[in-house]
Amino acid sequence: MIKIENASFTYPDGHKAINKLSLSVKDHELVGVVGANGAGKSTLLTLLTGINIAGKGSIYINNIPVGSETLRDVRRNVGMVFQNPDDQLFMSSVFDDIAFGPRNYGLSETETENRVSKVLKILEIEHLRHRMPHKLSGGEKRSVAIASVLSMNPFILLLDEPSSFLDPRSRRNLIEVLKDLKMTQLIATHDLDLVLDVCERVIVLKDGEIYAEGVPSDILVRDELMADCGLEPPLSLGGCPVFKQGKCKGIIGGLQ
Amino acid sequence: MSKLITALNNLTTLEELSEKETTIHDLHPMAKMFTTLVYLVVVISFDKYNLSGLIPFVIYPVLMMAMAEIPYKPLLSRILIALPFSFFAALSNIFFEKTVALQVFNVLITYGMISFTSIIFKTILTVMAVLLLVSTTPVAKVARELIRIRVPKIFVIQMMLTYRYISVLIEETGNMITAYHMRSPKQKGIQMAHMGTFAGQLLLRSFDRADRIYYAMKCRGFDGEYRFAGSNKIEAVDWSYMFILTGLFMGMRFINMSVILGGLFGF
Repeated sequence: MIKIENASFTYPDGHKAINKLSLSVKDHELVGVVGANGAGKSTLLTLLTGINIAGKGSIYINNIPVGSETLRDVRRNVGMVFQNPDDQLFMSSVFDDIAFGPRNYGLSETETENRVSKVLKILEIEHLRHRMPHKLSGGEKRSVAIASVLSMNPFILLLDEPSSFLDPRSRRNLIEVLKDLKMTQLIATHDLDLVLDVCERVIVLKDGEIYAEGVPSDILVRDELMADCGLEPPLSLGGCPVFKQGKCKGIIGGLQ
Repeated sequence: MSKLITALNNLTTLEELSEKETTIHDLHPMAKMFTTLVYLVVVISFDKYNLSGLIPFVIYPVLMMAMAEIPYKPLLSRILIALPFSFFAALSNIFFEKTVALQVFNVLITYGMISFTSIIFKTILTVMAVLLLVSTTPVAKVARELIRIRVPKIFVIQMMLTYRYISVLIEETGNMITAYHMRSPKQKGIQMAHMGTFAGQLLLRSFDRADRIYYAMKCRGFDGEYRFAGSNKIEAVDWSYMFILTGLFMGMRFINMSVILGGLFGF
């Protein structure tokens, strides 16, 4: 469970990224965090992992307060998948990368191996086991990055722009994987269709504050709200400006 | 840009080779490291005029390449990088040691020429041995064994991180050069006027990238210590490999095989 109470965070250059934000996420809930660039999505995730510590207010992860003394426990509960998988993968083989977390937490080699095999199977990437991470495709790297976090058995999974770098098919696979994972997930993204497809709740951020919150199919269709926050309704809900303006009238592959 | 990508690929080729599964790859890293160390010491210990004594030592890299299925091209191309250093270091010998050592037909061979050839030959053998070790043993395993033999952890971690970050730096440089050339197609290289900004930006970007990598590591429990897979026990086959080869090297150090073989064939 995630509980944020009046948290604020200001970067050293004076930019206030999060402003008196309060939020509660239940166990096994899938929550999307959307907003324009600079709205505070990524900063919010960094606060939850303790990469940045909130200057004001408090944050609890499974009742553990996030602070410099509790970081190790917090990070045992929270796994974060970074926006760019290249930032996350640095070992010489996929196996070693996925085993990095479990080894750091002192798991035996047998248990580490079991965990690695399990997540490789869940994500259907067993064939990548001995490959070098930087030689993989974008989709494969993303899967390995997720696997490297899942191998730590976190209660909460934070994903920063998980669908970036992915082709449509890899994106679809990712959506299926996220749906199948039985854990609390907080997904910061610009991909509103993904939010619509995966999340039970969406939080719209603007200037570091929660601007709107609710069921994605209710929130994301509000044109005015979306425009206020520098967003557009998802394409699957008719948000495509080309269709809206009636500029696309052809028939492609039998679809009008 | 293509040169940088080639450099990056070159960097990882040996690492990829080290993941192969052959008898040599399966040997315990410690056995390979110890054998390589003895080989290096023995080769370096040869007198600079004792060229004939060095020749039989070619057998080791050739045999290793064959058994570990390591292609010769990537190794030879890397040797060429190291060769100019010893070439220029040895060149002076030709000019300063002009005493004639022997005459082959009408050609006078000086001691300088022999020592020059010997230095180049030693470079080739030693660099080849190290490259073979790296291409048959993953870096992580080498690091693990270094810690095992009590090399201070700080040095080993430094080595591992430097090795990782070199590719990050090359990637960042490659991206920046591409962006630069896309906007200045007629320009060859980077203008001197832009070099300062370019280097500064590269440094800042590399810092940022390194920060993100570090955060990702911290999020997965990294506390400043690399933890490796548990080390396997050194088996009988590893001991045999170590003792037979080091014994052979020591033997070849004190018994000149070239002279014996030459004598057998009446030379």
